Amino acid sequence: MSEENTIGVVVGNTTTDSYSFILTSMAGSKGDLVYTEAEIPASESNKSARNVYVWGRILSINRTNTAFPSEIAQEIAKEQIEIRETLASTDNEYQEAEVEILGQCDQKDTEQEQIYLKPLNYPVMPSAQVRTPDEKLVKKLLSGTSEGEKLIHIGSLISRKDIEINVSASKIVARHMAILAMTGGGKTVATRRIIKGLSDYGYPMLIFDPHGDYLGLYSNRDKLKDENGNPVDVKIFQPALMAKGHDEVVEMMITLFTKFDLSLSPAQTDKFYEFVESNEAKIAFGDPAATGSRRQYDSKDIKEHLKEFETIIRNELEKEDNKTTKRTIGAVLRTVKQLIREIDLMQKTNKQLAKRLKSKDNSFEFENMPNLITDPEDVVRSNQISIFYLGGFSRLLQSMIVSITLETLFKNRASLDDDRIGPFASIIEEAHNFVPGSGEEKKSTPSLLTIRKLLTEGRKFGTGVILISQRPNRLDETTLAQCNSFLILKLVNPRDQGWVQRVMEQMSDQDREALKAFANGQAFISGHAVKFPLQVQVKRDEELETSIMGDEDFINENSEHHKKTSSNIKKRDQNSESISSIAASAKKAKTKL
Amino acid sequence: MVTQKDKIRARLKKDYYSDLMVLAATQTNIQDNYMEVIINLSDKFSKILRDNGYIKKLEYNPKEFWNFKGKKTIFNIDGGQASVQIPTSAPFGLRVVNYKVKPGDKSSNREDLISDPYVVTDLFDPNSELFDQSDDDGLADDLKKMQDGTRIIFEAASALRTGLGELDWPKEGKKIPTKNDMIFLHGPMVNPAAGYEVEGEISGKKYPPYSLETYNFLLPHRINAELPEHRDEDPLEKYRKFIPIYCEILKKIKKLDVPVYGCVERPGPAAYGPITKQLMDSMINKRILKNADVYRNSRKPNDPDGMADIIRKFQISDSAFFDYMLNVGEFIDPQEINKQEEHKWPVRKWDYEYWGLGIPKSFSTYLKVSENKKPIRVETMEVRESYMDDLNMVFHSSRLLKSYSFPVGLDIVDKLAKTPDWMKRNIRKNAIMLTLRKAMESGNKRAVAIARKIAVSSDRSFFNRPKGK
Repeated sequence: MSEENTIGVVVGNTTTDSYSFILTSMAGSKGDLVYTEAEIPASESNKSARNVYVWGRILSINRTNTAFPSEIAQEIAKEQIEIRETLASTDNEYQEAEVEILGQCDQKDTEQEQIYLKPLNYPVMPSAQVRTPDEKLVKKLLSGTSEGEKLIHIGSLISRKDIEINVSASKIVARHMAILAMTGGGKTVATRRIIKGLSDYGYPMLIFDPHGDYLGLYSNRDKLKDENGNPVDVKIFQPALMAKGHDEVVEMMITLFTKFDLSLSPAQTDKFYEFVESNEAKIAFGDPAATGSRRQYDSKDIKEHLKEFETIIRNELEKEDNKTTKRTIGAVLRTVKQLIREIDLMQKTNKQLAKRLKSKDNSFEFENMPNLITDPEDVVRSNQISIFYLGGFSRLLQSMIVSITLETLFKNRASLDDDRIGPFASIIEEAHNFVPGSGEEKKSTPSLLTIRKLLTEGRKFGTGVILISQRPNRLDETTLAQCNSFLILKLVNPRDQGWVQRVMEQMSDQDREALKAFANGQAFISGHAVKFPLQVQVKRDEELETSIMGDEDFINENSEHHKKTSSNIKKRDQNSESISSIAASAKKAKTKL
Repeated sequence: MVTQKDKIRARLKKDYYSDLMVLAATQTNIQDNYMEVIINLSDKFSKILRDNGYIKKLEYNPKEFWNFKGKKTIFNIDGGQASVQIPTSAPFGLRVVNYKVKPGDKSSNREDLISDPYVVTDLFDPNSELFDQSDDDGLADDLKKMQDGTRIIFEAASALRTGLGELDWPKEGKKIPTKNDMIFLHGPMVNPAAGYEVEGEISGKKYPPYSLETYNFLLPHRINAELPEHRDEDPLEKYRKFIPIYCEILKKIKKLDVPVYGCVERPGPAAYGPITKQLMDSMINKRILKNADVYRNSRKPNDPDGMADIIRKFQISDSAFFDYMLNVGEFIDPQEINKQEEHKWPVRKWDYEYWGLGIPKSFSTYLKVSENKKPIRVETMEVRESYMDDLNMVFHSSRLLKSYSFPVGLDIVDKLAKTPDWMKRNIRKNAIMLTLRKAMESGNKRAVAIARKIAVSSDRSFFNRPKGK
């Protein structure tokens, strides 16, 4: 502890939570860790006081030049005079920094391997010297994890590049994390870092990716290795709405009817229920109570179930003689077919998008979703990252896919006796679509309750969740409050900022204000994963980035498209022209006749 | 064409004056025709002054003016007192700030600052018999005077030490200013000294002398002092007091190469102020005005009032009077003023003649900087060749703060010399807590009660006034 690193002197009123100090010019910046010597009451009754170091973080710095009133600025601007030509003072200023107190430690603690902070119960002395710790000391302070704890290197302090920041991997997966930022704030960079960090330990991960942001991991999977050098596999699944058993299939069917706005009249509804409760339907969907049930719990794509159901209705239609009833059955059949078409369309779009991606990177292999009941280990296994590409599906279907997938895996995990799959982490992009905050959306989002369950039970079963969103204020507050760690990148929208501050316990007003000024990849990290809130520059994993999902260049694409197709279109137009002229002359010929 | 009379009328119509006039008109008969009298008198007097070259003009031309390229150094000095509301005679703080700036200098040496804090009681001689006087001797009553006097003397000494090159500037070290440079003092160049009279045998005000160390600090040139009394290696106590030291400092400042100017922010409210009087008298002497036009002939009761009588009757101060008359950039030809008026010296004639008249006279002017602000009083002890140029510096540097209309260099030191509020609050709190603790330790219930009163009581202020409808 040297005297040389003094950067200021405490002034004004101090409390056990904060103090201000006059900062030597250019000696420190916002976010810096500082410490000051203090004398606090001793815990033992026979001693009067003990010497401690009080640690804090610079929250804000005010730079004031009282000798430069704005009026001078007006006059020199108006008269176009150089300020330095006048008598006005330009370098007569001072900086007052506000420090948030993080805690205190005994002075002798700094000689230990790690520094653990305890709450401060007595304010620091005004006029005390404020110092900046050296790299060694900061490391001791920040590396406060229990022995053998697995860490993820997240980046460095914004204000001190020499100080590396690590977060606890186990706390992220057991206690959940939220990564929030506006578009372009560096969400993907931060998430990629966490994914890379977890993959170092071969931790199984599921990524629900509505836009294909994480497909780059697949292209660069050869660069992913765990700490022992074993490869980490990346799989991309084209998801499907899997349902099993009569009740579940019927429930999903009804939900889909409602959500796709496919309404049935009372008579049609009665008929629909008659069919779904029929023995044939029970057998088809897999009901243990049904006579002749094939397999009790066969999980299938809902589209397949619907097709079977369509056949059942068609059979009934053929059997029916009554005209009115026939009409009613016909209407039910049309509605079911409509639903099949809707789902089919989405699956096609999803496949189309996948194809489009594949055209850009031929290496992409989209696999069909395995049966999660029978083969969950195809999705959750060590040294594997499973990406569920959700592009093309409606919000509801995406939510259903997430809900069903996680629910199934959770049940599998929760019935530990089976021990089929180990703990895993689910990374949910566009989380506001899966755990929405508004009442209206909540009702139509089946994934909300599933994710809530995972978050609540995650600690017990190792089903950690990482929520990622660029619309924080649209997230469900209860769900987010279950996240014990937060990584907040640039946020400009004041509502988002206010919301984030409300949910997080450790964010000060100054931290909130700082969010809007963050550059790409700069973040505020707080919660269980770190000892105390820090502003960090997230490390960029450039080797895992891919240009495929960057900004689409539609202008060039259009030129290319035009080059390819214009000659065909031209020919077709010419053909059409000649055909219409022939048609016109034919018409005339007919008239002559 | 707008006449001077129109301008005066317009100035008088400004809110401030019209408010005053409404007040005056409703309260006193004497001021019924205030407006008419002021307009006519100001117009007449301004015309006489202009006709006889007593009003001069500076042009505002900032682009050409601010072109010193670092070749001129301006020193700005102000002293501030830490006036903390403490109900005890606790030590009293004083800070003298000196801001040096070289306009147009591109280097890091453009600005330099010295800020010296003092505890006033530390400056006096603790070995003097007068140091430990009890309050019964009346010292406490005049403590404020002692503090004021100390501030005045330290500000003047700072100008002297600057002029002699005694200051060790943090960036540039010692530097003796030349006649091309300038020193600005916040406040009058010369103050009436009689109030700070320290020769206890005459007035009964037994101020202790300054310590020898302070004395040597204030008069660094003592061996070659202008007044022989100061040259002694072991000077008499009586010469280590306000008037002898102040007299010496001013005499020496007058002889410095560098010109020194005092700029007064708030001119005194005295009706028929010294400059108006001096101008009137000067014009009588030069036979420009008849004596009877200025002063009513007291032997003939029916004679009309002279200008001086009217000004007195209507309570018109120098600053108000010249504010009506001067246009932006105009100033009054500097008038020599004797601030050491004999009737204010409650001392023997010899004392007055030696010390009182020994204090140099000041040359004062009023300079109108902006239309909406009263003119600034600028004082110096000698009108030198550079006077117009120097006044132009006052004019241009004041225009940078148009609505304040005061030289920016002095505004800077004024702010820096002030004790910040947070410091004052803490000093007060600390002092009160100490008082309270001592009272409690004494075990005296009455003392504790008084200490508690001290802790909670505060001065009445505007903000505590009950709200009316």
